Amino acid sequence: MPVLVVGAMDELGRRRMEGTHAWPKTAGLASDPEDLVDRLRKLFRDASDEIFEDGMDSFFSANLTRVVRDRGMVAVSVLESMISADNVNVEIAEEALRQVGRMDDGKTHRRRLSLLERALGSPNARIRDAASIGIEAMDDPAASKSLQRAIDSERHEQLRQNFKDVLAQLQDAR
Amino acid sequence: MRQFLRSIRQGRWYRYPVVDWLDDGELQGDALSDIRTQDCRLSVYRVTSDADRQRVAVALAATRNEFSNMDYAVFVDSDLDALGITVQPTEGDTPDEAVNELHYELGNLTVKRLALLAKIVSVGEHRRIRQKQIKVLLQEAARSGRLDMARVKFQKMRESLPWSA
Repeated sequence: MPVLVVGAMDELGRRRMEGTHAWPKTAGLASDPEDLVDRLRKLFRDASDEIFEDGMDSFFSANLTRVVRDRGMVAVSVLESMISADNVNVEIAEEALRQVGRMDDGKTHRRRLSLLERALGSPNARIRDAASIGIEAMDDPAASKSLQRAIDSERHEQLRQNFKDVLAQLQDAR
Repeated sequence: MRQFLRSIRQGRWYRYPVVDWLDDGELQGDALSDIRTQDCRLSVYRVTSDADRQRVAVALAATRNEFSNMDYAVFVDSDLDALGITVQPTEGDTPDEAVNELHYELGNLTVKRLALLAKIVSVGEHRRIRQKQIKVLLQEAARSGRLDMARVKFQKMRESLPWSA
């Protein structure tokens, strides 16, 4: 019988990062600097020991913000490839999406919004919900069409209602 | 029958079929992150009306570092005694004195009882107050004097709110 050891999360985290993509991507990552990929992978691995709470800073969220500010669009692209992997740690992906919405960084605004819009199409309900929370934080009416599409295709009532609430907010912001 | 409120993250409580790998009636292990005990006790607030719920939610939001959506569960105290879970009123630790008086601790929590409590929380009512709405409600609460500035722990939150003179 296999023995599971507490503290083996690093290895589990590593394996989770090696999955394939679950939602359509934009550009490939062949030209992305390896150190950035390593940096974000390490951030995700380290985050597996954190417990996230709404409205509270975390080591992960602070560092993720720093990486995106330092590396801009490329960092957002790498992040998207990690979040959209089939075997991503959903708890961490959720936190990343909330943080992507909260960042105050004009240079990456459009790219971050498009990441969140695509995440609305994730097969994972928690990721879809976190994407809507990120979009809500960005409060950009440009996401209205994506949200409407997400509402139209969402099968689960609670999520559909969450999306509708965010869409209503964006429409008020127009 | 008493009702209690506990802040949660809604997604951790999704069940089948929203989370398709779960068996019907099962919960995600991540839900336990929302009912972490300290000294085998769990902090909850007793609520009797929608106004109570909102006031507690706002007071809890004031204990955070920044404005954020507030997800919470309201569950009924139906079987807690029978499960051996104690229910004790104790002083809460929010910046709203009236809310602190609604604070209870669920005690004698074992791993088994915690799992049963998780089931009770999961079938409760799960609601979300959006970030923008929380911001408005917090500002109103600060302006009206319902929140005690000295008891707002995080400087960022303290400085984000308009305090009456």
